[in-house]
Amino acid sequence: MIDTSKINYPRVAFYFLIISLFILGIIFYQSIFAYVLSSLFFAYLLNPIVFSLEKAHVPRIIGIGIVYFFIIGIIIGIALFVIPPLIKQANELVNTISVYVKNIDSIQQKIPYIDKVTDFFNSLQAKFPFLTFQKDLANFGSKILDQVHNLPSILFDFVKNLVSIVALLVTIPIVGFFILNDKEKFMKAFFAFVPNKYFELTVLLMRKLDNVAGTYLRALMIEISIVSVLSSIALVIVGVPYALLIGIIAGFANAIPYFGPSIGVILAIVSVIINSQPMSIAVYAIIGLYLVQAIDNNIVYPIVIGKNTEMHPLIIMLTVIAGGYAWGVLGMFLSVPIVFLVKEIMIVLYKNLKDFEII
Amino acid sequence: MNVFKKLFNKKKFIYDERLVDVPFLKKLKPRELGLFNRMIYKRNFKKGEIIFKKDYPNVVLYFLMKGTVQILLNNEKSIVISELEPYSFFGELGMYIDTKRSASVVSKTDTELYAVSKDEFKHFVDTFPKIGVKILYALGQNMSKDIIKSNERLKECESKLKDKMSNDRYIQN
Repeated sequence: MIDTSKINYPRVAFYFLIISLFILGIIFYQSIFAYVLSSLFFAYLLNPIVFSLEKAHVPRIIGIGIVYFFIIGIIIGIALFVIPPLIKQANELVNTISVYVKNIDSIQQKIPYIDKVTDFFNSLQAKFPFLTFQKDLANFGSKILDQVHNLPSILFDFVKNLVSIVALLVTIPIVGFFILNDKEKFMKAFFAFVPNKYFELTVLLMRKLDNVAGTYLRALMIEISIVSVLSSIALVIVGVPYALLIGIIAGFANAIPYFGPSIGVILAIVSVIINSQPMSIAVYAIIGLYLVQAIDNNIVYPIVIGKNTEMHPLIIMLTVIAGGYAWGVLGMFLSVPIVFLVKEIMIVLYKNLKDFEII
Repeated sequence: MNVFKKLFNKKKFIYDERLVDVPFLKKLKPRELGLFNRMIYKRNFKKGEIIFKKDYPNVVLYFLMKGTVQILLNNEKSIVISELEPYSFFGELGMYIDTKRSASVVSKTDTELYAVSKDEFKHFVDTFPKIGVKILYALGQNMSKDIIKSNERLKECESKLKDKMSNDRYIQN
């Protein structure tokens, strides 16, 4: 039984007020969460550079200025040299795809094996009617394909929607600037709300979160950049059509465990086929992308990410598939890091809740 | 424009003036104190509140800025090993060895503490080795003094024990 005479009503009312304000705050600010998250991500990536400048006696505010100056340079460079050919390639690809979607039969004629594969699955289905994998596979495939198909149009919507781009381009660096400059102030303000009893535990958790998320994000960005550049170079050398577009997609897709690396290869092969190029180019493309994979797995990954995620391959695979079902390509991309982060935090939380005698 | 004025006109190195009085931060320059100040979380404890217990994880190093704390051998109401006055620090063992808390600490009066995360402190020492050397050297000095003190107390205890034993023998005889 709860002794009602001991309840401190003003305190309960105050906590209730705080929780209500918190919920109202979330509702009020929900539309800018994406901006804040992107800015956090942005600040996270730049923080080590600003910090190392500070180490060299460059005041933080000037350090941030220097980093911003270089980023603007890189953005201008990308806008001048990478975006125009990328849009052109995406445009051409959309045209080619739409032509092929109209006469889908001709694809089957060009790739005779597709019929045999379909026959095989059909016969399997007939023998084991309880297996619905064909439907599942088709569902899963179409979900992913939808997004891949939509990619160029997403890109166009993006360009069309200039207002949000400008908002993004302006907001992220400004919010990012304040996060970079006043990181410690925000942390102090946050910790001021943490009761003494949970203070040390919260310090531990924040440290872990910072460690896992920060290291992973930075490593991921570096790996994506390197693999994108290497894949694009390899595909340009081999002579695959839309080499730049496919190279960049391959770089991003590479971050999806197990399934990712094959996406680049598949796109390269499809590009060769729909452009009626000789199949030898496809073979060279496979070899080229395989070499990029070898470089990534043996040199880039061990240096950049270092430690393995320490998750069983089966769990990683299932997590990627679940992510794909839930949020499509983005889900495949994010599911493993999110699950890994939650797992790590829960391990630390459980151990320390016991150590601090909270549970 | 006010925001930008504020950003550029603010005092160059912001830190709590009292940090200068903390013995092992004495040798730091304003820039170094400003950098150190960023890691500090201010905590207030009420009289009798437990700051940490023996065998808790070693996460944070504390500087006592106001009030008195008691260091206890075991949990809660056990032997008081010592009492600390303002500008001393505790919980520094975790900086050097990966152990749990070796004693409990309770605030004797209302206290104000500055908490610094052990990991952030280590990172700070790694990134700013020149400042780190100054701090670690002063920390080492302080710990050496503590060891000398406890050796003396041990000697006292030994002689008291000897006296007691000889007394007991005398009574027995």
